[in-house]
Amino acid sequence: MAPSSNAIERLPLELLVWIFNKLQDMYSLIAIRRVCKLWREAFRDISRFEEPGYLPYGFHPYRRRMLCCFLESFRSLEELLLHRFHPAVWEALVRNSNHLFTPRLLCVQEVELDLSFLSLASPHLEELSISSTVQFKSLPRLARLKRCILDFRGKSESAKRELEEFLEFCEGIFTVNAPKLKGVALTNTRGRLLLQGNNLERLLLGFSYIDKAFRSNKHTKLNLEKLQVLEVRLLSSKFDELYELDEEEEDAVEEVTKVLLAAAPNVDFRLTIPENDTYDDSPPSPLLFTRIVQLFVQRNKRRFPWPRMLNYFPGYEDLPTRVPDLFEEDETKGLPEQKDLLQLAQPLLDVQPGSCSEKFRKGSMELSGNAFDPARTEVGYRPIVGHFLAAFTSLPQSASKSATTIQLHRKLLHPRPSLAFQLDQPAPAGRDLSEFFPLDEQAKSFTNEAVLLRMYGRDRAINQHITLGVLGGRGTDEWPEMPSRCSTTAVPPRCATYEQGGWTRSRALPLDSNGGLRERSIQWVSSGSPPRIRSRDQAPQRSSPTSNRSVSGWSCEAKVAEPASLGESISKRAMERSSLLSRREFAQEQPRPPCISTRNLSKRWSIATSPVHAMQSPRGRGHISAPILHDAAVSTG
Amino acid sequence: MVKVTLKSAEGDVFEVDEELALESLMVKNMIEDVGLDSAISLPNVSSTILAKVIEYIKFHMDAQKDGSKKTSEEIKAFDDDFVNVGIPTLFEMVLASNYLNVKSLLSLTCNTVANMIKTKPPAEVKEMFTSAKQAKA
Repeated sequence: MAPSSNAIERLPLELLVWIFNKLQDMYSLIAIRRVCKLWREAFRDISRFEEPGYLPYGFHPYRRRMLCCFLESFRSLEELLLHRFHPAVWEALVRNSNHLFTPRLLCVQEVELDLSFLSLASPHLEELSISSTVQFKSLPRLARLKRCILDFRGKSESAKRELEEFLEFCEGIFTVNAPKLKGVALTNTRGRLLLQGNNLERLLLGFSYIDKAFRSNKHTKLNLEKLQVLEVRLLSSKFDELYELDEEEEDAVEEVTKVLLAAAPNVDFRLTIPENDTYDDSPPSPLLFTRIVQLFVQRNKRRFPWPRMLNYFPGYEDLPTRVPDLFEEDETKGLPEQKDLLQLAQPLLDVQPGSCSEKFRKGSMELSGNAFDPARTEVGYRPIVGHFLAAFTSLPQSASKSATTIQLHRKLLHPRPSLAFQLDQPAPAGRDLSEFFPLDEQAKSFTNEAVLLRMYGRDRAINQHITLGVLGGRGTDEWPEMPSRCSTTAVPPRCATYEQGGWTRSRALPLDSNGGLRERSIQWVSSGSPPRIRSRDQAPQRSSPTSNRSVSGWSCEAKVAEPASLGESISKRAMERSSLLSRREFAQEQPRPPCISTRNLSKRWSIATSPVHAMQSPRGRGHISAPILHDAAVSTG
Repeated sequence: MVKVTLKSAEGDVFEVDEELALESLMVKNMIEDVGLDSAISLPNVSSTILAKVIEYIKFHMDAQKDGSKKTSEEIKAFDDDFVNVGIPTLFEMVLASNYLNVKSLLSLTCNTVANMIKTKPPAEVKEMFTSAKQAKA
């Protein structure tokens, strides 16, 4: 009976359990795991223990102990999915987490997790990430952690109180996602804000809590790095509902706006567009747009100079009446020009990475702080940009559009073709807005290329032919490195999630061949559709119930196109034609120095943020980058 | 006194009292099935280990008899001395007691193994079992 391996491995599992049950400390269990192969294998498939009857009756205490041992044996574990766990398991889990530990604790039954032991039992624990539906007990004990990420899925009253207490005593950097907790009062009874210092990295709360949280807040004391506001319902009320807001709600809206504005320059706040205010059949709600304008004005320290331009935005005609402080009453001006619109959108567009280096040179302009610093902004303003541009692109098309073009568009749009185009072939570098606005010679220089150049950089804008439909949502970090083809379907990422190995159904926004909104309709992309390509070659982070609602702005779905179809070839030809036209206009205007109407504009602002400026080399104004000229020369033949 | 014949893995025969043999639930079931006429084969137990098991059962049977003068200290001393063996032998006794279904011996040997592991760092535990394996080989 010579043993084939070490002696302990010859023992059956029942005997191991018998032996190990006599050990009192977890440390010994770990020691056994390292020398006992069977013990390791027993832990390897922990799901076996979930099957009833796997272990004979009476072994449940052993199962719990074995699970604890399993948890402690993987000290480098980064993510763990547990369906059922005992508080002792939780203790074992946390005790051995001396690094960033992101367990996903999903509990079938409501269990209270007592975290009070943490102060003693987990001296090495510095960072902790909890995503759980369970209820935490003694949550303030976590306040001593240097970094803490709490993802609340529960909505019980006790959890709310725990969170409030935690926020008050938290010293480290923490992120709190509590979208379902209602009525979280972030001010104490004396009206003092619980969020003190720089300890809040991200806070995800519902709209109603903003009201409670910041109603009595001293805005100047806010120094939040990020403030993510989920479901800003009051900010996005429908136009018809606007007048149904009572006084309290209006105050809440104002309060939120104040907070958001006062939080600059350090706050990157994201206005997440609720479900009922997406690109469906209606433009962005007037109230939301009002707030966007308010933000714009506040951040740029200038007024909205074109009241009449709002005529181009359905539903915003009475905006100057409702928000008179935002506009300059100068009816003598003519209709807004395209360049003005683009210039208006420029600060919003400038949040895109890689576009603000020139703009933020010292002394070039007077923007507050780094509110638009791309390094800090990520995708913060992208939904706003998307809304802005949605309104921008929803302008009625010119009647001069030829019937041939309309017919071509119909062919392209129905049925849904792949609408893909080769990026290495000539294609429109954006939507030519000249069909909507009568452009003068100066304004022609402010074509979409300028915007795209500013947003995505010269190379990407020219070589990758980004369309305006993408302009509202896709940042450089999300752009595929070498996509062979890109479909023209923009998908709100909050509607397209990757869950459990599959893509959920996603509402997609079809774009026409020019990159604009194809129809005011919703298209469903089935779960079998190809996944979008992300810059980082990795699956998206685990989805959460909130990820469907409050992730970044718009993005473009990239896929491998089907074999060339008739619609595709037509679309390619149309794009090539459009591209040549736009490039020709673009090239013709390039040698001209930009001449921006600076009436009613801050001089510095107009110089620093002019779209043409973005096309210039970093050395300064007046220098046109050689590749652009070269490209223009080629395109114009 | 009825005798029961036990046959070890090596083929050695051990004749023990029926009372002693019935301490093992496994042997008891075998006797109930095949009777006392034939030897009970124990292929999973070596002669050395079977002899140790018989010695343990016999000592504790005597200690539990009325009029036994053995104190608890003596019983404990016997147990300590009984399990004061090499790790391979100890694990074979664990297996044998489990196979023969002798609860008291199984508890004693498992406790011994647990005490050996207890308070030892993983490296030392691993070395202990590895050296035991090499010694056995």
